[in-house]
Amino acid sequence: MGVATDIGATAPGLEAFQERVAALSVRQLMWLRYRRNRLAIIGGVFLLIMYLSALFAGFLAPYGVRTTHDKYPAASPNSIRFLDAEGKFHLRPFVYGLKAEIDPQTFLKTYTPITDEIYPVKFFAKGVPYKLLGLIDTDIHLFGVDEPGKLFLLGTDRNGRDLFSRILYGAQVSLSVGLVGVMLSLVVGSFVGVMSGFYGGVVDNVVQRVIEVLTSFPQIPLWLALASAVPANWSPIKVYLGISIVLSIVGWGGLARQVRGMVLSLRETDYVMAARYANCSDLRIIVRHLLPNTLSHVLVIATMAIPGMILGETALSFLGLGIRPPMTSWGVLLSEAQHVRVFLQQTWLLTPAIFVLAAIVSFNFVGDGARDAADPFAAE
Amino acid sequence: MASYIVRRVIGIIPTLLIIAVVGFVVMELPAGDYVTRYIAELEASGQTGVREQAATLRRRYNLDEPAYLRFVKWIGRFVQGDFGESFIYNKPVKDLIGKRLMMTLVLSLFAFILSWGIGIPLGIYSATHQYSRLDNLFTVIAFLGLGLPAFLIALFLLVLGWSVTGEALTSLFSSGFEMAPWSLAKVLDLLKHIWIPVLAVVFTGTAWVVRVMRGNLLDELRVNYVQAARAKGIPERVVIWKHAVRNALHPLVMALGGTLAWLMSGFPIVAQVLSLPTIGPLYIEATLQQDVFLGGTILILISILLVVGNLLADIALVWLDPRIRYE
Amino acid sequence: MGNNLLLEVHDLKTHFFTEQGVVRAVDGVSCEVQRGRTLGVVGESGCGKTVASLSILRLVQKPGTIVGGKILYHRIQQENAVGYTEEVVDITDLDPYGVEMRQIRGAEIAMVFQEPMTSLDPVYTVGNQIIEAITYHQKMAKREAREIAIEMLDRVNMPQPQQAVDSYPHQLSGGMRQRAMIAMALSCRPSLLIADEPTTALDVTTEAQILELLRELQRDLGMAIMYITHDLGVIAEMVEEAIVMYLGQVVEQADVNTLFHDPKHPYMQALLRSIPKIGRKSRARLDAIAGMVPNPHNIPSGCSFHPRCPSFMPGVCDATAPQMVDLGGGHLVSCFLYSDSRERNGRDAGE
Repeated sequence: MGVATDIGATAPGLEAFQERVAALSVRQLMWLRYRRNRLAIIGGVFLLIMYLSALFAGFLAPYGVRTTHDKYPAASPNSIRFLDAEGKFHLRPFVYGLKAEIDPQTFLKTYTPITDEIYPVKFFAKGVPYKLLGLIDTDIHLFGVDEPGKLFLLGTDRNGRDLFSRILYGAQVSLSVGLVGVMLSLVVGSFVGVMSGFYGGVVDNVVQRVIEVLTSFPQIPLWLALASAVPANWSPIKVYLGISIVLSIVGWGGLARQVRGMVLSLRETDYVMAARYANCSDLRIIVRHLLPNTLSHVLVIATMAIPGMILGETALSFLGLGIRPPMTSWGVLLSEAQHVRVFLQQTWLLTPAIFVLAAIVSFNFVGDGARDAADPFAAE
Repeated sequence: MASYIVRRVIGIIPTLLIIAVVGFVVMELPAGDYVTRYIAELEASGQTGVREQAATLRRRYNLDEPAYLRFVKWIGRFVQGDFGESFIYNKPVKDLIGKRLMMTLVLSLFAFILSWGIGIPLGIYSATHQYSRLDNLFTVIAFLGLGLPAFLIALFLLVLGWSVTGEALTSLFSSGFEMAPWSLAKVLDLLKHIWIPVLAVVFTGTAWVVRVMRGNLLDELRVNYVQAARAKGIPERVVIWKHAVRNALHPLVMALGGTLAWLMSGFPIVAQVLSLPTIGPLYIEATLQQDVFLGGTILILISILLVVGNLLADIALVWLDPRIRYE
Repeated sequence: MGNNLLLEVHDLKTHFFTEQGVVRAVDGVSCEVQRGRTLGVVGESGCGKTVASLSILRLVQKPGTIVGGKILYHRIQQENAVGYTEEVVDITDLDPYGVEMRQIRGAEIAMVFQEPMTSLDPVYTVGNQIIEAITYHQKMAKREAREIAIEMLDRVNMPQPQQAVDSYPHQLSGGMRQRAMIAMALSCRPSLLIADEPTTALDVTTEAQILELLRELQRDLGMAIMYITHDLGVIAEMVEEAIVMYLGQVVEQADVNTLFHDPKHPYMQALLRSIPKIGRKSRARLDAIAGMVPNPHNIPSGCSFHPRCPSFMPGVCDATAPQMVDLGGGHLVSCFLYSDSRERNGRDAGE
């Protein structure tokens, strides 16, 4: 029969029609919205790959982070080949052996591939021992070559360390410092922002002033100044934490301001006032009403702040003020060129920059998509 | 409108004051410690005339006086251009900064004008031809520009320039030309070098301006009064420029201060990488070696520039938007 | 009487091509506007009435476009002793950004929008915007245009027109802004004014004033009005004839008396039933229409009203779309309830 709605009207055909058209929950709407943004998906996939690679760096890297190949400083990439000098196709990829010579004019070492020496690439090869995920001792790597063959996918630095392996290990620091920094900013910024917006008055004024002064200082120079305050004699881990804190100091202000703005507008909404009349405690109002509504926006802002942090760490480390060796990050790798001219001759040393770019751009895409998705009711 | 401006000017004074305090705390107080150590070293070294030197230093840095008095005197000295002495170079900070500051301002202004000069028309084009081929191209380039930090762009451009010309195009001049008198060859040399820093800095700035302008204009074009204006029958060109663009500029001008901040911020590292004769490399060296006077002074000067820049942006905004005038 | 036809709309179709599919915002709308008379367009939000009016002025933006139908505008070329010569312009054929269309827009067909708050550019004075409209269509000096602007503002009963002309929109109240908009629209003496819910955003007292003003101006200027609204009360007061729209189509059309006293379409009947009436028992439930307006991407098959219709006939209403039936006296209905009788009548008459 027909649908008798509780408002007294009847419509015989309503039920059949409604079955065909389903309603979506807000979360479903958000996911649908995000999914449509192709760039955001690509960015997300890229980030996933990068973070997984960092996690399994030990397994994916042919060599350890500190493994030095004394005889091969500043070697250009020794690439994997399928076709040998005679034109024969090898199913299993291989690398050539390298002969080191000293160029009589520049006194620099150059390396020429020896086409007779063929070292096949082995998968799940035994190599330098490491701890998988920091827990399990093992020495199996995804791929590698037997000594004295060398697999330098991206060349070596001036100390003869394989760049590809170090980039993988460096990812662990570069990709995590930003997260730690953002989390710190998030916690501090949200707390301050909520307090400031909710209570207003003197607290609000003081906080606003502080943030204003903080944002009066230009970002990178401030980072530089603060980073120089991190003592040089701290252990690498302490330096890591110190750098995270430095990065977050500049970030929390902007976040607090945004949260405050949102709290201010939410404070006057009807449901918050209703909660007040119902005698809800302040804490309950904040936690149950304000936070969930600001959460999606706050997460988006946080996501969009990560690229800045990655950039900050890279810049600081590049200049020597950030992560200290022996801890490696992409910025540290870039700084090892010592002088800009070195990049001109050993161009492969610039590769960490490409990874920095990829990470930043991916985060930007994801952040953009997240921002669109966070407001599923916004117009196109 | 005048009262608004006056209020804003007065409003930045507390901020400037706090910056001064921060600067003082960061620079003078620890420097006091540093100087004390220095004096101790001097005395320990047993050189002649050490006593007089120590006394001069003490007087110079007011080490014997209470903090607030030192603060006031420090401000007095600062305002007159006495920024203290650099520990690295053993020269007055003022001498070191002078020429470089000018160069920094010139290059920054140039980059700023270029970013906006290119960015705004491109942004307008993008918004009015949404999803066209050029718009998509600009969008991709803008994403790259926003994602790439300026100094990495500078590095890439260096490599590019080197592969094309075989020269390392750092600094503004090749060696030999720097001290030479101006000639056509020198100008050409300058042009050969200057495109790298300009491109590196302007790329990001322009990308940002294009995105913001495009976004703003797209929003404006959807607004009712644009439709109402069209309904009057006036040409599309007038609708866009007289109404939509004028309103879209509003948030852009608000972000003018942001552009300045970003310029001041990203520029130093680019300058370092390219060995430009601006303040950036000096600042980086100062932070690396903890030369407090040099570094602190530069930081404060840049911050003051920022605050003033923001103030100018606010004033420009008021001129642009009559709604604010009557608050 | 001569030909009093001012505007003819024949089977207008305006569709929006979005990523999620085609939205058939206007799907076969036909109506006529007579010179000097008022036509009402009634319907809920989303029924396509605004898009229809925008289509007449070729103001529909991407991704929307007119995909079918004709809009014919009858322009009086000149009046002489014998009568007048008329030119019929096919609006659907014109370039929306071209000179011809822009000549019509503002000077011959003008529009007043729904939200006075946001329909005026906030960075220019009201006077500037009215003068803009005037000087674009008529060659005259700024000072002259300014005089006309002040005169128009006075005509619309704007308090202190000399000051108002130099004010910014945010300095005026909602009612004053709407008057300014009307002044702007009428400054070139159009023959048709399209009013898209001009009083929806205003309070009731101001609304009454604006309605009064519009009636007065219509009398004085002899212009036609196309009044778009969802408010039945306004329709009853303002218009002579009305069309009722639902999901992009006209479901009923009649003069206002017939429409209110003898509505034939179930939708119109339901609309009238839903208005609370004085004298009803206070505890009685309001008669709302069952269901909600469907998502424009999911328009029901057949008659688009069938899921909510109390007279739904399975197999008929959800199978094919109904045709417009002429019930005589200018009363048209689009409903299967009446197509039977017509067929029956036709068959009886034919036998």
